[in-house]
Amino acid sequence: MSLDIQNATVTVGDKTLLNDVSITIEAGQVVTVLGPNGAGKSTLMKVACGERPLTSGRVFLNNRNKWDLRQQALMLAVLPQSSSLNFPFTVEEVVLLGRTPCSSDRYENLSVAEQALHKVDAQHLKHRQYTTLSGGERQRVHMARVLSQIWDECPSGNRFLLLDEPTSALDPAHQQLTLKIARQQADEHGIGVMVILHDLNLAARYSDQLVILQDGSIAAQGTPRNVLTPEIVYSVFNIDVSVSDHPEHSCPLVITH
Amino acid sequence: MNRSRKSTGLLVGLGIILPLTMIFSVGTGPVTIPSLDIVSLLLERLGLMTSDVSEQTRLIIESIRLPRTLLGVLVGGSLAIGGAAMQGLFRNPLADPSIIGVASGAALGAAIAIVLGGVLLSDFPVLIQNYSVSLLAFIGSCLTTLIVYKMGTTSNGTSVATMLLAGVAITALAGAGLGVLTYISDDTTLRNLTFWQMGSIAGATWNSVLICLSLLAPVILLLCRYGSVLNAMLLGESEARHLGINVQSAKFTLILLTALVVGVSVSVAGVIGFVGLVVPHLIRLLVGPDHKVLLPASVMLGSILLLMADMVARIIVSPAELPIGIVTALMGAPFFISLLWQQRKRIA
Repeated sequence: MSLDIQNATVTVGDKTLLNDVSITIEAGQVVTVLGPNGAGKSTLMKVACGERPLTSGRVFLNNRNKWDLRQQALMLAVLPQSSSLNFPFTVEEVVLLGRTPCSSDRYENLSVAEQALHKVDAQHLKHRQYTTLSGGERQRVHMARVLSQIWDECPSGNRFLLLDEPTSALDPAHQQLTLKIARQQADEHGIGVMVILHDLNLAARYSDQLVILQDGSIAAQGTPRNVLTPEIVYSVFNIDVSVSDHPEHSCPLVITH
Repeated sequence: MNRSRKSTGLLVGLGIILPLTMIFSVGTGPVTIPSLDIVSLLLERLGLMTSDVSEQTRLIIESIRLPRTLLGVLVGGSLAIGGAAMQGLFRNPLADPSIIGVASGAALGAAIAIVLGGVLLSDFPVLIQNYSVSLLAFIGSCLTTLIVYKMGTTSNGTSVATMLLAGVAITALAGAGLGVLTYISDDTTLRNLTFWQMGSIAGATWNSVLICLSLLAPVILLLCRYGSVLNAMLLGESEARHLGINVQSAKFTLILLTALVVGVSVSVAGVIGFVGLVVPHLIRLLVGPDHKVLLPASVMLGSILLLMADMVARIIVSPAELPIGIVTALMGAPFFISLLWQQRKRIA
């Protein structure tokens, strides 16, 4: 089963934000969406989670285009770019909010929250007040929150995780960690991951599929090796690059000139 | 000590202090009544024992002090939970019914019913007339909540500045409306209107207790169930939606319920400010912002604080009385100023 976006078009006034975009995220796959600012990446993510109504096209989550909200929350978790939370919750309480749709008891929720925090390397922040954290720490706490939301397998179908620029506020080590977690969720738990990134090399290293958006349309789609060519990168991002092989991993390495 | 154990402690503690405060409240006034007499009279009423309390004491307790205390409990609890829910809904700890103009809107509605209801509804029984005051107050508070919410809230949360300014504008507008009503009302109505505007639970009767009990108690209980919804909404509306919450319907219900508690409280007790601001804030300082604890704890602390303020109002210029709204404003306004002071960077 999959998260299937079919011919999604979104227009606001006379501006087309998305133009006939089709993407399928299979269970256990990491699909990365790349593209310049204003290309429609965040709109695509909002479309994928049902937050934004489509002008035309359809979105199927596990073969259905309409789910009960709570059911959907057990299968689909979304990490926003930034959060406006400004109440003095502890970090643990924020992660526990991710368990809102789950019907497990408090003891189990606490254990899941603990493991999720451990995963994002933030267990030492557990009793800190969320509002005192730095931007990067907050981002990791929210990552733990969405991980704990879809921690348990769901009888209704496969689970999917949508991450909107999850690395934007992180230091290099935690950028790697966050994407390693995404990769691990896909490989070990069969979770389908859709992630928006700006770093071409992070995308190349951790993704099964890349989708490059430009002006609301798909400019290129395929494996990192097929998509990350100097020609495509130049035509979309307007930068000169050369692409070689990563010295240690079997993925392309993009070097800007 | 971790927060969840603290929370249990707080709820139990408040659960013990509230009945004690109620007994003190019944005992306090121009005639001091010993707590033992009150307890024995209550036990007698419950058929558990006989008491030798004098007829006069009996009368004071049953027809004056007890309804007043019960009304204080209901109104205090309502204002506090109304404030707590509103702060969650607005995602802003400064939202308070009296500050953002909701209480003024309710007051205008209630005043219309008080001044014009006498003419329009004079043939109906008193009970229906009283409910009409509550109904109009509810409509007034509902409209103002909607307006302030629409004006102040964007996808990034609520702008404090817009919210407060909307409150100023609505308070001014309601003030003008109240002015017109004052101008056209006769002497008796005028006196009622003036005292009621300052806020007081001195006029409590079993009749008003009944109105409050029938309208406020179920709404308070209902609001207490919105703990986890409000928690999720603090993350933001789309985040709450991703957590499986039907945000539109939750918002609608919350606005309706808070408008109802505020409107009904204002209709029976006038504008009693700052309870909804101070109480949830104190609870958050003690156990954090978890609404599953915050809502019930606010109800109890709100009741306790309002009863205390009412006792102060009764004692301080005895044998006369100060309107309770003045007492809560004297305590609450400096508190509000200190909160603004702390938050001034974020507001600017």
